[in-house]
Amino acid sequence: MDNSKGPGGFRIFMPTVVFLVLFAGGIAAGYFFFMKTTQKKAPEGPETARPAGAATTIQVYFPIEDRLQAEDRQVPRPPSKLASARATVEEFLKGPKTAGDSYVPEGARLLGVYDGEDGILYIDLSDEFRRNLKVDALGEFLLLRGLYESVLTNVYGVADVKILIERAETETLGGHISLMRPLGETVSQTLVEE
Amino acid sequence: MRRFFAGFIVFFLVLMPVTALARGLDTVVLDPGHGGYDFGVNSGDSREKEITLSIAKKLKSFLREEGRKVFLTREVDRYLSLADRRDRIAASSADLFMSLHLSDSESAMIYVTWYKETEADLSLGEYYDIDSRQRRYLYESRVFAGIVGEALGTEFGVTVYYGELPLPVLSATGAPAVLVELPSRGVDYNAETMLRFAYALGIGMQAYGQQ
Ligand SMILES: [Zn+2]
Repeated sequence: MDNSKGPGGFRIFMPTVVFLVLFAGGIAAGYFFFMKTTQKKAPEGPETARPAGAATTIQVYFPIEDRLQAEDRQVPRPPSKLASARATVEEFLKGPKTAGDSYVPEGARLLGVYDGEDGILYIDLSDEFRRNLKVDALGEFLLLRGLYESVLTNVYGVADVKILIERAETETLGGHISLMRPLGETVSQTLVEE
Repeated sequence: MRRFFAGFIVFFLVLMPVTALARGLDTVVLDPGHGGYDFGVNSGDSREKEITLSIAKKLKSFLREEGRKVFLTREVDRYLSLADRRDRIAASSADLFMSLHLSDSESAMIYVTWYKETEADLSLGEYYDIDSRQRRYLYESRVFAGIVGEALGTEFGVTVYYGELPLPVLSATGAPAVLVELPSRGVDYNAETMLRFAYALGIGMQAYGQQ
């Protein structure tokens, strides 16, 4: 694992820098994706039906070893915001095609996505997402960050993401990181290099 | 192996009593990760929850022999929520805190916690929130992390990486605090190995106290 010196002589993870690059890339990709979409269509409400049909490309961020890896996935163009969220999370749950150890929990299913207050998107996952997760602290962090980045990159109008397991609030997935708050603050780690 | 233990014996019998703890670390809290239905990662046929508890108990007895009060957040194989762990840590008046885990690799990882906001950005309520307790110890925790890593690297020969993650058990600790992940791969966690890790961590704690 690569690392570098941070403030006070403490080392920080280079993968964090990689995340930021990926995140910036993701935002840019998301921007162009939505610009493309919105330029073609009139403004619409969140669940207003859009004609489905042509495929579109989404970017999904997978935790692989000690980094996030972006993969492009072709999905049918989602007709709404929540459909877009469902498509993104379902692609995330399929796991990466890139070689390397990944730890997206096997057998996890999406039970639903819901629009909450203040732009928070609630993602309800089956218990396998918690039960089949065997990771260390960094793995747990990267899994949450990958899901968060994937949703914010591909789903327009989401301010933050909150994970539910079997329709209930869950304290933690892997015993290291808290899920009690929406993910934004937890995964938005930015580190300043010397 | 013999040379390794000889080094420890010299340290514990000669150096440690001579160099009294400069930082006054009377109370140490150890937090064996996972437990109950939360197994953590596997290391061969062993589980993280068992390894961390076993090492924590060995470390506890070393530190007690040196006259320190030592508390474990869990003494048995049972699930303990993050909230329960934080409550126990908060109630213990810890002078030093270490959460024990395994990494999913051949390396050891040592984390301090990470905060998004600086103190200047906090409301009064946030400033006095339990999650802000670690704020004033971030520098000391980094020093502690470096010394523990040095002890693991020197005495055990493992590669040690350092990082910052938003870890609730550390955020809630009003004392220098680290989360140590020992390697899960390339190590056979038999009784002797676990004793060696406990010694190495004990040396790290004592070395930090002497600085
Ligand atoms: Zn762990």
